[in-house]
Amino acid sequence: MSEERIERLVRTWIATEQQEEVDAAVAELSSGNASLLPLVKALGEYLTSEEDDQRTKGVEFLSSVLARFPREKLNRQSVRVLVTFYCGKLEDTETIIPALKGLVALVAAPTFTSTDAVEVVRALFRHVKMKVLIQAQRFLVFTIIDTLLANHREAFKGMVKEFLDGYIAIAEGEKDPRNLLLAFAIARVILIEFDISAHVEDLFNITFCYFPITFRPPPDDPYGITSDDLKNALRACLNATPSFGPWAIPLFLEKVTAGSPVTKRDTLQTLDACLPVYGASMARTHARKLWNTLKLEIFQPTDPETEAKALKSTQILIQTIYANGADGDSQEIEGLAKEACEECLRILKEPEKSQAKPATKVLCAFMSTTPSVARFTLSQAIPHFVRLFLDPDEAPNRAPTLRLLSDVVAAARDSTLKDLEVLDEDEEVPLSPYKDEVLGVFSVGLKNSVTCKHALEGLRNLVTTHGLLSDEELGFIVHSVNEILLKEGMEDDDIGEGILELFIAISTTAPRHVTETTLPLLFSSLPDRAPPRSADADRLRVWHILAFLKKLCIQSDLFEMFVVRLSTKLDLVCTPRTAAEGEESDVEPSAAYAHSILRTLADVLAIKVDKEHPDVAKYIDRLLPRLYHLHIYSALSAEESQAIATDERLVAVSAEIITLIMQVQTAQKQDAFIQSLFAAYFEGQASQIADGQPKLPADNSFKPFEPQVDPLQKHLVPLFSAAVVALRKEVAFPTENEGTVLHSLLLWSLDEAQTSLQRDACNHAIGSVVNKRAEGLSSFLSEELDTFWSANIADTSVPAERRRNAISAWIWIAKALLIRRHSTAMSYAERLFVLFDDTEVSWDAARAIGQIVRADKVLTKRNHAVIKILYAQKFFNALLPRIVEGAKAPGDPRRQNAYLVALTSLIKAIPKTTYAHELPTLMPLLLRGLELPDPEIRANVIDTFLVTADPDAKEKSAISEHATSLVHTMLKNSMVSQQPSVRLRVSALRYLAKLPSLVRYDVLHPQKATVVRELAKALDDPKKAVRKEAVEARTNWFKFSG
Amino acid sequence: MANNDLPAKIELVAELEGHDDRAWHVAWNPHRPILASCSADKTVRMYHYQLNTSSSDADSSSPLLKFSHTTTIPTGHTKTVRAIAWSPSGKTLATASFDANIGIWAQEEDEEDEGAGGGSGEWECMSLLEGHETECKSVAYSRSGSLLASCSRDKTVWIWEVHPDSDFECMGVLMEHTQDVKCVAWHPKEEILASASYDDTIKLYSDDPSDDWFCATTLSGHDSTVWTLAWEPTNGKYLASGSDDGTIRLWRITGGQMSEMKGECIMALEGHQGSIYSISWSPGKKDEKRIAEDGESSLGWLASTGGDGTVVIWEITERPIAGSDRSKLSSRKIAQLDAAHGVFDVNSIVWCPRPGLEHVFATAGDDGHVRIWKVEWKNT
Amino acid sequence: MSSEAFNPNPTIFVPTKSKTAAAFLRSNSLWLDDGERHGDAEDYEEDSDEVEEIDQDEIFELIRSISDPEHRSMTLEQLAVVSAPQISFDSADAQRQSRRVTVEFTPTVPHCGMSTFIGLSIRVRLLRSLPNRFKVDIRVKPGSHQSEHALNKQLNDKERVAAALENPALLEVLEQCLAGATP
Repeated sequence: MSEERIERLVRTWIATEQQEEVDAAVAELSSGNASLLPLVKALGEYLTSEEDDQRTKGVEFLSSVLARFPREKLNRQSVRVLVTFYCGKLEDTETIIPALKGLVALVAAPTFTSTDAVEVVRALFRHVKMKVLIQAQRFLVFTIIDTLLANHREAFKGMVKEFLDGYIAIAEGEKDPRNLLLAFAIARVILIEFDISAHVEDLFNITFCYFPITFRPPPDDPYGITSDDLKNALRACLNATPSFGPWAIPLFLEKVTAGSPVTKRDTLQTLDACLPVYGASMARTHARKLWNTLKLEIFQPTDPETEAKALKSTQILIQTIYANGADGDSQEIEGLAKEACEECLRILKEPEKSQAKPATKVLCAFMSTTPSVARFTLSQAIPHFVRLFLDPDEAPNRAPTLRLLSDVVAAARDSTLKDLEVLDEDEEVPLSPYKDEVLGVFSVGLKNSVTCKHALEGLRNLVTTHGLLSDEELGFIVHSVNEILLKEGMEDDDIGEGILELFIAISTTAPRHVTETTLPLLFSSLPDRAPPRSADADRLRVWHILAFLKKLCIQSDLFEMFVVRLSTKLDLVCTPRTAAEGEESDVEPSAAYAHSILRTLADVLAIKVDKEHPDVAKYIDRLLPRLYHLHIYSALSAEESQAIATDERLVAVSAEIITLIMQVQTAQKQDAFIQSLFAAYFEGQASQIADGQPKLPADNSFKPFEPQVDPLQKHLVPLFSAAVVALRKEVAFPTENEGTVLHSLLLWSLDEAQTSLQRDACNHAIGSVVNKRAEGLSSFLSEELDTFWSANIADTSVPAERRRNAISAWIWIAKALLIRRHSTAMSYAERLFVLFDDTEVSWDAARAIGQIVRADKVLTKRNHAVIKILYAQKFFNALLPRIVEGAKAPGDPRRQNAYLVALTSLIKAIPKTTYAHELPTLMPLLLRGLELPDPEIRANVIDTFLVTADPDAKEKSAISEHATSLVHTMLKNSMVSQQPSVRLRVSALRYLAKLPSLVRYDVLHPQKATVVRELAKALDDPKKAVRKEAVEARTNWFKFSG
Repeated sequence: MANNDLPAKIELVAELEGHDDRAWHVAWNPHRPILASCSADKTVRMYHYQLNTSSSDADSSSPLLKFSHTTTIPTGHTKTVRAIAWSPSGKTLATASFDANIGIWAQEEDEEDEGAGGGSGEWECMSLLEGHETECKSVAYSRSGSLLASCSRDKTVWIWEVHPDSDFECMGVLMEHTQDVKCVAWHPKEEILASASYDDTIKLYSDDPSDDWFCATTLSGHDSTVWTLAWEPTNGKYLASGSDDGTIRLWRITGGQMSEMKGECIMALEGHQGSIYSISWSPGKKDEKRIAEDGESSLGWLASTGGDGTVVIWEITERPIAGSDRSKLSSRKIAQLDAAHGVFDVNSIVWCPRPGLEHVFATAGDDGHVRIWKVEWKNT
Repeated sequence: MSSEAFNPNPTIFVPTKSKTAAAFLRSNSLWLDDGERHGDAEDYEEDSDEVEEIDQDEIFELIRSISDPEHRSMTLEQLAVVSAPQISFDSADAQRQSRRVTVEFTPTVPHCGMSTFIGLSIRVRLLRSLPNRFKVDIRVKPGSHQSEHALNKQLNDKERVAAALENPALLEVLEQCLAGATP
């Protein structure tokens, strides 16, 4: 290492102040025995120069080098020299800044000793005037002190007074957030580590003067300091020492009382952090004042959030006061808990008044404080409510009383759930002592329709309290609820709901009681024969019971019984005993009743499948054979009275059930099932599918797909498809060529099918197979479909009806291929365009475009369909340009409109995100779509507008641009005088209601008067549903102002 | 329908739409063919009208008058413009607004072209009379045009002296009423002012030789708010008042600036359901087919309307009582029109003051429309 | 709003569940509504041109949830200030196009200074939500307020109501109370 090099570096740097020299110097010095002294020597003349600027530069260079110099290499000797050097430079106003930079590095050096530390702080305290330094420089000072404090605390403890005086002087009046974060950290250390007894007040002042933090970070804050950072750092100071208590608490109280909601909340949170530290005795001395303040926030809450925080603080207050309080007998509770509790109970003498609610909230809050307080509170509250309830003079107030009591029970329950300190394992449930009286009160409450609702809620809270009720107590509850179940339970929705929730709660732990007593009760109250047409009341009752069962019987034990009992009912209803005179002629009610039973089964199954209940699978053997038997039996049986189960409305629901159950089967199971299904539907072996069921009459005559078969049999084709659509893709048809099967189904749907249900069922089956097994279907997909297209769709001599049906079949095939993104998929869609100027089916073809991509209930993951992501985008991007162009192209209006129809149906069918960016282009076209005569199309357009109407979206120009015409078309479409379609009117009004949130006031306000006036007409719409929307819309426009 | 038995019929002449909100009041210019209307939309709309030459009174197929909207004054009032009044000269228009101010409007100097109805000149605010504390509800010029009266919810009636160059001086603030003052109306001849109030009373004022205004008498009798007043047009011997109690009362006013003033209620007309918001009194047209009993003389037609949306035309006649200076008043309903503005309230009804058009009146309704009507005696 | 409370601790009443029959009860046919139809969101009987008259309950729906100016967290219904039975139609004009409705409300205390405001909020809600042909009278329940007559007179003076609605400060509070009420 050559001294010359160093000196050269120094000279160049002084001249140029380039970073390179610094780096070079660092490199140079850190090599070898690495002492800084040569540098100091080399700098000598500058460091002592008379030229201020020269001195500054000199020190600057030294510090810059030091800053990058490997600390561990700093030897003791250098450190010594530098310490003295820098401390000296602190006096010199020209060099103080670079000196501070240097010290930042220096104090971090390992060889930096406590003696150095003391010397440095003394120098700092003596020479540094924070007022004259800028933020960044002050930051250096804090950094230095922070480092020193981290490494040499003990040394300073020896000079407490001097150190604290010095530091306080430094920290006082700091404003910069970044420095404050550091200052708060330092303060916390001091407060915790040092004997501050002589300085409490000063320290309090330099910290509390910042409370509450109102700092809002500037948008371009380089340090990204949030006001929460500051709040937390400050809190960490405020709760660093108990000795702040006497000063802090009054200040907190003042802030809570006087502050803005934000301040209130901040203060309450801080209070929560501090109280435990300040300690029990402190809390006790201020208990009254604190409570009075908190009470205000709870009883006259500014807003729910603050109220919640106030309740939390109350809990903390109580916890602090009774923290290590002898956890003995609850009677010993004295002081605040006792007084507050009594205070609340006084208020609760009037349970019907509005103050009763907050009072109860307080009691509930007490539940989660300390075991003794919780126990005490219960010992006071529960008897109070019980007394109230039993007091004849208070009879009118029983409802509110029970409501509040049930709240308390819930709180007691949750207290044991949440924190286990409140309750050691071995200890009994806090509610146990009062179990009997509470249970008693609630069961009395059941008997009266006014109190029933709350009684049920209370019981539910008891039932859900872990380890409280014995099994026979549960039995007792179920029993007493059963008594009201069939009357009030069925008449009053609220009570019905309450009972339901209670039973569901019980079923999770003790289903036995429900299955043994409640369910039999319900099932036996379902008639074996349909109520006749005239008996509306009976029918309503049936529906109520079914609705109830539907919600109740989700749990597997309950469900099992439910299936057994309902399928039995089904048989009874669908196979009426032979003609009793008279009513026999009318099978409609029986069909309707059977339908409602099936519906209920289907709905519960759907729920269970959603919840992925494993027990669903087994019903492929327990339920499906019965269903198929039921339907096939009635299709085969001669006399018309037996034909109930062939009613398509029933078939449709059974189909749902079949699909639901098939979905959850393994491939093997499905394979076996499909075998027997084919046997039944194609080989005249119906009994195969009705395994284990009574013999079918003439079962070999069941041939639903044969031409000229009894129409009743055709009704059952959907039950075939229902199973097929849920097949996994590895499951094959039991036939050598699936293509031929599909082809025959295709033709059957055109030639034989008699109803749209049958036709759709066929198409679904075809689509589902095509989607899952396209690989093996190449010939079907090419030749056979080509001929199908030209023979049934393209050929204009074919009757329009047949062409339409063919198109819907086509849709399903295209759909099936599209969602798996099959290479040929697009070609099937594009073929449709050639029909756009067809005189008969142009609109059907146009609508088809949308129907192809529209999500459906058949080709779903649940049905194991093969779905590739982004197929909708692909489809949209491929077709949109062509459609837009077509819609704009001059010429044949039919053609143009067809394109508009295609556009609307397409957009309606795909997710918003797919087309949102295109909206500006599409808007004008869609507006034209609003002029089309077909109300459905118009409604679709408006629905599109509705989904794309996002008040938060930045890009709303598309809407603003057309605001005026939007307003007018929407008004037009919302008037009953102009628009018979309710759906359309509703959509239009909904959009009008949204507009004010979408378009700036200055753009829209010219329309305000008109809209308000015109909407007055919509308020007089003959339909309630429409009026409701009109009210909403008009209100929004009234409120709409600049 | 009972209305058919009545001797006269009311026919629509024109419908003037355009206000964005409830129309409160209309005023015919006394000299020029201009109709002004004001509204909660804070604007005043001006219409020019002319006789439809093609039409004779007989043929009602083509309307009597043709109206055209000439201009809309935004006024700059920050709240509803509740009432308007033309000065007798027809040169200035006063606007009373809920913003507590009275606006005085005149047209730029190029308006001497009659007939044109001053279509061209811009209407400008010549001055703004501040003083009322709350909503102004009515304003009126005295016969001579030298005085302007205004009233407000602040319970006061102010009387302003009109100086040249739209300079106004407050002559008196009358704090007689105990509630809002709804309406002020000047005597057709003398400088006597009547005011009607929410406190159910009517008060009459005049000034003493030293120009100090005072309340000369109070007329009590209505059971609820008195909304509207109308003096018998020719001599002002009678005052009519319409009230929330659903009745119109006729008061004989005796005395005046010279002698002590008195008012006695001599008749109550019933025929409306609910509030009567506006009445107007015109000389009317004689019923040729009716042989006047000796001494009987017509005091003209009184038109009334209100919350029930009905318009009623009453003919008031006077017959001297032999051997007394007093005379007997009688009234008959000569025409009625239901739902004059559909389901909406009618807020204002005003006869056209211009010669030959005494049978024409205008109404303003909550639907924001102004409608022009004519009353015709039935031929058979 | 004045700061002193007229009734710091009013009685709360359990709302009377608006009788909205479950979906399947609405179709008074033999057949239970099909799941499909629940699924496909709204389904209106497009064809039926049967007119559903505006009735007591529909009007009550409009005002029940207006929040009380003194206890914003509570609705007029909860405080039993309004109730369906307190809404009545003038049977006389059942045939006529325009209908008279009288809405009666009950202040929680006879000296309640908020009554005018409550009445006003009901008036405004109905002004905005009922067809023009409905003429609404708003009155306090006879004997329920010390200055009953003055209140009724004021609430039914259209000029005063109109003026009140042009008072920004008042309107703001009004909107807040109604906001709790947006149907």
